[in-house]
Amino acid sequence: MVIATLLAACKTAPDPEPPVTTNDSETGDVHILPRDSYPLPTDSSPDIPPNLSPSHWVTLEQTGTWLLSSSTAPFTSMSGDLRIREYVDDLDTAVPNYECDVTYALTGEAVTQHSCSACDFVFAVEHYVQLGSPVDCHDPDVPLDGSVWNMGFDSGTRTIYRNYGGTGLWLPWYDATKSGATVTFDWTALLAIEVEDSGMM
Amino acid sequence: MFPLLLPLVMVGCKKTTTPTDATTGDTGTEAPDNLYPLPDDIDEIDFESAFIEAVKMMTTVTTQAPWAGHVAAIDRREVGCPDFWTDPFTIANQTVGSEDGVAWNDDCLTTTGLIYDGWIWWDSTVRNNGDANTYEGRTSEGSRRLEGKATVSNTDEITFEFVGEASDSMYRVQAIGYDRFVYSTRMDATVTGRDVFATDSPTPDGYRTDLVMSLTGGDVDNFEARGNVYMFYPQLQGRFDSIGADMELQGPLGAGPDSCTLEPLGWIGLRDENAYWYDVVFLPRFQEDIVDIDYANDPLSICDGCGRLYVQGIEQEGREICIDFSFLFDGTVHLPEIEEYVLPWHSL
Repeated sequence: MVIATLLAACKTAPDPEPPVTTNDSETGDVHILPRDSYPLPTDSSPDIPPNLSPSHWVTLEQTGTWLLSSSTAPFTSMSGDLRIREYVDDLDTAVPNYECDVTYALTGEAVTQHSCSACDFVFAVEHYVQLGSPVDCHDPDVPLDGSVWNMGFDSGTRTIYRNYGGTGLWLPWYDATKSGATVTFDWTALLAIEVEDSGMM
Repeated sequence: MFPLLLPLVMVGCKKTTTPTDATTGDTGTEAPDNLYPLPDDIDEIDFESAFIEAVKMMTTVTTQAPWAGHVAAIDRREVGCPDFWTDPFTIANQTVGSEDGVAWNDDCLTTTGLIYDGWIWWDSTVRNNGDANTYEGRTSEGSRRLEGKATVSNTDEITFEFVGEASDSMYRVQAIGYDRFVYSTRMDATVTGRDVFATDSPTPDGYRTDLVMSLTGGDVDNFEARGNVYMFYPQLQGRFDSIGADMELQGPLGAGPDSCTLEPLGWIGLRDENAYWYDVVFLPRFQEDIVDIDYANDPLSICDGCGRLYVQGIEQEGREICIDFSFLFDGTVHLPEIEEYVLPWHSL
């Protein structure tokens, strides 16, 4: 009898209807709930964020000099150096434990055709790694061995700018001071870092 | 015993198929009925404009969107809010971030009332050589990637929300009388926020997507898109909340003698607020698309700019949808400038 009943139902089975909840039972109109009708859970988060404080920091230091070809413009070339050092938290000055310690020799040829309107002079600066390895550094923009960057000095803002990727965007790269035929520059920053077996808070 | 009988009875409920043709040996199948009743106003839907609007909207679903929100969030930061991180770090027992690039990670409030909650890691590279106004030309390459789970908000609204990962790349060669570009973008993410989507944008409420898309132009026009865009609400013509696509279209430039430039290979689908899918199926894209039935039958295989409408997977006899996709190659699709790939943490 069960089989007969099911087979009978099979013969007359209508096409399934869409979910009842979407149709008005009287008019058949489709209902869409207004957006504000959904019940929202209570926001249980604190009103003031806790401001997470990292436990460990990497200090990034970059310092260097440009020795210009003369003490007055025009400057046709330069030579110099760049040292990049990075360390976690406090540096043991007795036995420095640098995460990265790289020394570069710099050479530069003057670039006369450039788009840095603020720059007093621009060099194509080539970086030669003399000591260390830049791959150990945390700054993602450390120069690789042999890389050439167009960099210009602006005495007004005491800044060395870098033509980033040759795009024509001159980004502030180093704080710099010119004294005679010498330009000294530096840059320092901090990055939070997770040290093994240590939480961030 | 009843449970055992039920499957047997259900087998008896299968729709009847037409018998094998004695002369050709072909086994015909009866077209299935629509499983659910079609919407009463289906004849009033302007499918042509809906699908054009859908594809135009789809072309805005690129990594450019979350990147713009990311840049805006960084522009509004203050010292210490948010904190910037290097190397991988742990969030909820998950290792995130990378030895490359930099991330911000915090749960903090700025003095201007902006809340940064979560983390975003990013990395980008850019290279530009030469001069476009010469015969040697200029070559530009940029790529960028961001991953994260973060919201940036104030008391009134979310200015930027990003959960997932996104990447894109741009390659362009420009010289006197020559231009070629290849842009590709890939997202598997949720993106919302007023810094990304203005109130008059195509998707003011954002979207969730797994769309992969590419556009080449200049010397050879080609467009490809595969994936889905879910817009949370019916943001498309007030009716559709999702787009699905698996399509490729050869544009007029560089087309071969056998290329069809009038219609894509593949299909595009729209879902309405009642979860009805409306698909337009064009020429088959892959051999695997041709299953069971002989796909290559007229008029479906004609390169005429028209596809067949399917509703809930059921072919709608006599419903051809004809769409002009030429806007894909006339500059309507927004491409990023190479300078937009520049975001080094060093100069923030």
